[in-house]
Amino acid sequence: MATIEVKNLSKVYGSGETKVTALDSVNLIIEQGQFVAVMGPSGCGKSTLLHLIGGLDRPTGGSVFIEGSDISKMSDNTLTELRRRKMGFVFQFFNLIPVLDAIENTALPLILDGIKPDIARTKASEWLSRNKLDGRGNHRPDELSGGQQQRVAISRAMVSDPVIILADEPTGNLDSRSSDEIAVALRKIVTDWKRTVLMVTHDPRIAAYADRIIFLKDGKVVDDTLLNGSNGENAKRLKEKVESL
Amino acid sequence: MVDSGLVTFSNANGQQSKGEYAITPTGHDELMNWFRMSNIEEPHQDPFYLKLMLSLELDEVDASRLIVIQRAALYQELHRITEQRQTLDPQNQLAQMLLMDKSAMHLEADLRWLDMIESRLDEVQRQPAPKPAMRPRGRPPSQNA
Ligand SMILES: Nc1ncnc2c1ncn2[C@@H]1O[C@H](COP(=O)(O)OP(=O)(O)OP(=O)(O)O)[C@@H](O)[C@H]1O
Ligand SMILES: [Mg+2]
Repeated sequence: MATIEVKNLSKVYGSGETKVTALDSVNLIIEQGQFVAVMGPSGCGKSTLLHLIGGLDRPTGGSVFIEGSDISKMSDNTLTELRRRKMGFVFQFFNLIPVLDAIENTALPLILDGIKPDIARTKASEWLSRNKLDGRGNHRPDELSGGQQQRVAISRAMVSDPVIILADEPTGNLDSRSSDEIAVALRKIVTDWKRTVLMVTHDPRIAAYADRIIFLKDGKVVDDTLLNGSNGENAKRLKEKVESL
Repeated sequence: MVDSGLVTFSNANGQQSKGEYAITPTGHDELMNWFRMSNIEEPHQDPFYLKLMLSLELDEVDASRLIVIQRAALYQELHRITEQRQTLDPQNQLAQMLLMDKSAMHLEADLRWLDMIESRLDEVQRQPAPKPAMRPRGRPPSQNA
């Protein structure tokens, strides 16, 4: 069973004259432990795809299956529950709470879920340390660099043990060095923890950390490139692509 | 180099195979000149660009597929370099890392260039094909000819 399966997924905004087809019958299968980058020109539907997969928005056609369950058929409550249990979100803006320190920000989803604060804090510290933030636990966001804040945001996304991490332009506000650190952190989540990461990015160097790149254009998948095979396999795939010309 | 006076060769102990080269003052000047020179790569003919321009002229080759294939290949390479770079130790192997950074940055530039071409493909297709610039060959014609 695939972690994420998208079938004929469409999203149309508005109607009549102002109708915009943001996604046009997209089909995708994403397996557990895959690091997938979504790329394409501005307005091609990347964020829309991520929002639909994350259950943050409802499709106008088709469906999204998360570990085999059709989320388009779920009630709002069931969907919210699934999102809390199985998904972590990382966005361009870190959205950390300014008055809370790194541990408190990271532990917050667990505490809101009714987990005892000391247990939540321990788990939070573990994730901060995995994201190379040892010793920063008691720093508030304004005492952290952009790259460090984003790694707190990644720790917060990981603390409730999600199956899928959805990241929309996670490096959009960072310099290239911090961007690399974020890409390395996401890469580790996939390699060491076998989670699935779906990341939207404009940055080719960040996309190169992924195992697979999906290219969207005008709401359609125009290319799907696997990067993680051996060089021989990659050469074969490329050859197939050339032959399909 | 001996013939050009950049180094001298001396075979003091008479052995056939062994001897010492020494740099001459002219050689040293030449070496310093070499260090002072900047390095701009010759604007060469980009093979992909050539292919793409030819594809615009041929009905049986789809230019946008060429872009897709080229992009996939560049990403494979960028992924390979990124993985290799991650195995290096910044405390000891910075020199290798800097060379890989060069490759990564050039690949990135090529990828962005492809995006640019893709977004303007329709436009370029409507324009007349570029004529290859005629490079003067052989001896330049004399002024008063
Ligand atoms: N709430 C909305 N109402 C109307 N149109 C929308 C809405 N959200 C997105 N769109 C439109 O849907 C299309 C896809 O938008 P989306 O945000 O998914 O693009 P994107 O690929 O993420 O772009 P970017 O790279 O600029 O973030 C665009 O044409 C956009 O204008
Ligand atoms: Mg977007």
